Amino acid sequence: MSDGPLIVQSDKTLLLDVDHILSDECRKAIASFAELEKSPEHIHTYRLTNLGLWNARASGLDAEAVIDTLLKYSRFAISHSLLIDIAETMSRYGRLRLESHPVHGLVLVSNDPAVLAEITRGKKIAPMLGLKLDEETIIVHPGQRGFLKQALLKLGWPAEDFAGYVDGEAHEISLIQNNWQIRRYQEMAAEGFWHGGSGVVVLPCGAGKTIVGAASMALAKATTLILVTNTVAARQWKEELIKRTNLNEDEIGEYSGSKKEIRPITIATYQVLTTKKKGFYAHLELFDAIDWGLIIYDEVHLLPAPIFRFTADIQSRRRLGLTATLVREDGLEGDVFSLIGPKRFDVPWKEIEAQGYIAPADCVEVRVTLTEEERMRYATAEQEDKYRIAATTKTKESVAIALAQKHSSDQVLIIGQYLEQLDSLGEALKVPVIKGSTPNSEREKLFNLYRQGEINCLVVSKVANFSIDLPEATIAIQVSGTFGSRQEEAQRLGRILRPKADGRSARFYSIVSRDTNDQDFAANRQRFLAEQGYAYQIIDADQIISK
Amino acid sequence: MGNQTFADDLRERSDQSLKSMLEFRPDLLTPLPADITSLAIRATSTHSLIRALDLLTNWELDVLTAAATLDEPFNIKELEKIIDKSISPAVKKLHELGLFYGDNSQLKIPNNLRILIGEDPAGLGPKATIKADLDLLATAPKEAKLILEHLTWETPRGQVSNMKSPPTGVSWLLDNDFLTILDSHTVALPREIGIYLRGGKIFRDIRNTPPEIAGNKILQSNIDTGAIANISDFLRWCEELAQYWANDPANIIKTGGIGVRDLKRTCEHLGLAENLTSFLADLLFQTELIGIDGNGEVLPTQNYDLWLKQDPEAKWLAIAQIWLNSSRYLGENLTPLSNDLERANLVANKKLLIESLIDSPEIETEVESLLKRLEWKAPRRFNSNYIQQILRETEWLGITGRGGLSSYGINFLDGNKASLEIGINKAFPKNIDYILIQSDYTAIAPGPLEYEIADQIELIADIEGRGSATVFRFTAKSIRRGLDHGMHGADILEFLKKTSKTQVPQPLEYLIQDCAKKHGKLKVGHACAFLRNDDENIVTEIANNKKIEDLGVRKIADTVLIFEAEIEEVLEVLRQENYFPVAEGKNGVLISAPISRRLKLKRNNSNKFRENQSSNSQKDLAEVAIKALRVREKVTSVPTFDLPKNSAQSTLNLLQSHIEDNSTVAIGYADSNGHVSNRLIDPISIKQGILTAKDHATGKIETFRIPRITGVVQYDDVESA
Repeated sequence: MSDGPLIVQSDKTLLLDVDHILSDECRKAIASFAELEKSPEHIHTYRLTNLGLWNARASGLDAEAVIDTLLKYSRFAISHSLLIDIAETMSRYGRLRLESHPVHGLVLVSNDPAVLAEITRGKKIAPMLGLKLDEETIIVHPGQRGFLKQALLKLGWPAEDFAGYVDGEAHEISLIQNNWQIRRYQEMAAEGFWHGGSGVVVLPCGAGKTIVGAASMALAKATTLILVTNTVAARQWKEELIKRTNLNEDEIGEYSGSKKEIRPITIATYQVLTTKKKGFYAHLELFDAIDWGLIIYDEVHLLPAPIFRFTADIQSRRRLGLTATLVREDGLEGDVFSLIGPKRFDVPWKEIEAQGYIAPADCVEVRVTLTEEERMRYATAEQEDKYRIAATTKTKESVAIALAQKHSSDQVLIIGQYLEQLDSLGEALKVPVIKGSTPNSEREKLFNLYRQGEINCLVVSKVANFSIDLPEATIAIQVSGTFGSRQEEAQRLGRILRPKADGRSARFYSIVSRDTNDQDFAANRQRFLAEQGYAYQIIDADQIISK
Repeated sequence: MGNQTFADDLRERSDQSLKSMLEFRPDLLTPLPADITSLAIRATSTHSLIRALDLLTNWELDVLTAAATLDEPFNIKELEKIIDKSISPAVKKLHELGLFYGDNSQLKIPNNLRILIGEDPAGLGPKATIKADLDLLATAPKEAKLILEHLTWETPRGQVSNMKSPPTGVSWLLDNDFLTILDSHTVALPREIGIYLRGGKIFRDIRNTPPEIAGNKILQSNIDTGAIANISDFLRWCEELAQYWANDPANIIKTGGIGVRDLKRTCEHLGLAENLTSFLADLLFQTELIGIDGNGEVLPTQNYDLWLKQDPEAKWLAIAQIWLNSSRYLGENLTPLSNDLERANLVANKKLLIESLIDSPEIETEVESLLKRLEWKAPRRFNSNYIQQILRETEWLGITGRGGLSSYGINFLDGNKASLEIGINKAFPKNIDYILIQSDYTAIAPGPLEYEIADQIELIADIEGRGSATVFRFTAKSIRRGLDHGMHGADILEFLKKTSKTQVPQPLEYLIQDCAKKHGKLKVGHACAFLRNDDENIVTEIANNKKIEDLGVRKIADTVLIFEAEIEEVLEVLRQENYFPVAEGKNGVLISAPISRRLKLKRNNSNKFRENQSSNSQKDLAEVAIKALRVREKVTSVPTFDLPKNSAQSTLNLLQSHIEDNSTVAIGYADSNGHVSNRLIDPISIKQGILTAKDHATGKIETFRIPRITGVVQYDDVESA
């Protein structure tokens, strides 16, 4: 029995002891076929999933190599049935192939007539298929490539896609690294994506996902459609691209509520694409406006359902998804994988932190107690009002104010869900409030003042959850959130993770009402970050207010 | 010597030879036979012969069957001629078993054994009555050749619908004596011609050696690694199952065994397939690690606690030993813990399989070849389903690993080493006495935990993942469980600090303290009735009343008393003591009198008295019943005494003639108690004193013993009468 760093569990999880001398080597070896599930301080958990094993096959790894790796690093004997299971799962990949037929276009091919017979019997799959050319070949209806791949994946017969990608309209793009340098992991992420053809890159907030996007564009050297969450993010992308690449302002268009520019590089918001006019999505033709060579989905964990549907239609174009937190509260992670593509790159947050590319951060949960009157109100409230009552207790406000004052020399963000609460905080601290109703120009102005240090405290609603780049923000104070959303919590922490000029560490305060459902939601919200190794210290409100 | 009997043969046998027969056939010894004659009778009884046949290999059975085609007595040379030169060991074994008797020049087969072998041994027909001219075969028409081909290897008998004008091929064969007529519809290929057509040999293939086991070569060390993984999985599953049922017992259903629903949820909990879960449950039950209590709940027994404290090898042996001798079969869809799982040949199949595995070491056994070998070794006992199940079980148990016999399996099965260590403990990962606590409220034991520590930590944390390592999760609920079991917050913290190799994260510490602070603030007790009054003085007075004390009174607030006695009794006593109590309903409504009790009817009770109207099988049943009634009516129109009494010979003749003209007859038929009933039948054939006929009452083909038929009359005659 070896003394390896890996424990292979019968439930297909892999536990990696990160303090082990071989852990780094082992992590690199298993990352190609196992999915990182969580990475707290001592033991990282990976999982062997069908998808992960198939991706490994797709990238040229065979079952023998996977099994050898497991046996090599495993601390204990591995049950034979698990190894057989791996071999069987991996052997399912590639029995079906999507190919381009010179005459009939897209065809589904298999050397195994039994598999072909099995899948053609499926009610969902049959309508996507056309004529059977021979025992081994069936025509696929054009436009069904994405849906078919998705349906086959669900049946457990993933199709290997040899039909290739369209190159799109060529457009010269290259990185200009004059006063900056692309980081190793960014380069690896872009290359991982490019070799895989399509897929998702997962990197922590503040780790420079835009650069990965730009690097991918430089690899594609083609017209690119970039989908982002909101207008502010669109403008940041534009600025960043101008700064990092040879692209100039005229080559980059913004397609949003206010502007409808279509240029070789077009940045569109999810919102405008999902706007309906007379029951139709009025702007979806944007996808066909130019022969795009690459489509980038920023914050892919927020991708709205209609765009999902559209993505299934454009399977022949290269697609890159970017996110920090591939956890969807709607459980559609699987759809992201099959439509955008599998996860191509993922790296533990703490590792990027160790490399100094994101700021170290402490998380502190401050427990407040409701006032006697609020407790009674909470106890008798209807279920749907309970969270609001718990989340907006007066005590939270005094704690938030005390914290803001304590950190008056830092750049502070106060983030919350309930506008009344935010307005009241803004008033008490005499600082501006940015919310949904704040016009874009006003938002940008305030963010700019904040970046320049003119303002050192802002109160923001969930409009600032994503994609807002505020490099010097050091302290975030969360007073309320969208129930138990794990990705929101992570994104909010992400706002303060840009490395600070003086190397200071960031601090994330989450104010939570004890003995209420606020506390339960908070526990759920923190789970993703805790699994990334961010330990929350819990303190009582009196420790802050009394000071 | 030609008329030597079996008893004579036995008498002439040496002691050694007799002993070896008795060792092979232990059933001959109980009870001890009085003399050789009775031993001979017993050894040639059908019952004992069947057992003896079970012991034969495929080759020995072939030799025996071939012998049955020869005229008695036969010699070994004749036998060699129709099979192969390599028969003498098989002949010796058959003689030893008492299935042949006489010496090699004059061999015989016991009569009952011939009956067991059947009329057409090795698919060869009856002996010819007339000698046919074999040279004529060359000139046979095409149709005849086709028929011969079929009758030579498949079955020696054929059906002819009309014997008076048979098809051309058949008529040629009949004319030239290549077929004999057996009855009005059946012809057969005579034995001699069959053997001739088979080229003078009885069998196409000589299968005198067992098929080899195929499979990839695999190093013993690799087998052992696989086996240890299986063993540690197996032991873990046992513990998980027992612990799961300790908290949430499975129930025994009315028909016996564990119900599907309980089984399903258990599978889900353990993450195991249904057949594996069934196997585990039943084996634990056999080992008495779980048992059924008076209420039909399945729970771990006290033995389980003792078992749990043993080392892995002792734990495993306790179970494997029971498995080895268990005749319970847990195949597809069978209910674990039910009463009808014993299978006669299961243990025999187990032993066979194990012998074969021992014979072929360091091989990743290919199942198909293993099955072939086992079938050859004991064709009459072999059961492919059993073997496949046993194979699964050996793998689950870790007797095999990656399909090969592990060294633990070898040591375990080697009876001589029974008292020695079989090596599991040495190969098992060492127990550890620490955990790693992480900031996401999980703790990981990266190896098997010491029993005491596992026990303690399972009290305060939920198990989130199991395997070689265990992943625990701390939640408010799990901490509360620890507190409920009498631990204090400080105890828990101290235990974790002592056990964890890593620092206890602050949030976990906070969680424990927070839970401990809240624990026990709410107090819950039992009461049957309460009393409340705004006047504290009266309440105190009642609480101190001696007579009321018997009601189990307790003051829980200045204005509230609770009682252990029922509400009616409390009212009664208070009234006797000159108070004026009333009963209070749920919402504070006053009720003038206590509710008088009524039996609550269960909802579905009313259904009991309703007929089940929609079932299809009900309809079918009715149809059958009517049919039977109609037939009975027909038959009873012929009262028993109306049927003529025929002698056996005339019954036979009558039936024969009715068979020929396909008519329906009524017969009187006596049962074993001498009761005569009337049956309406279409006779089909007569053979060896047995009539085969279609019974109108059941619509099925049935058999009737000729001596029991009291009379026969044509049905048309009855009707006209």
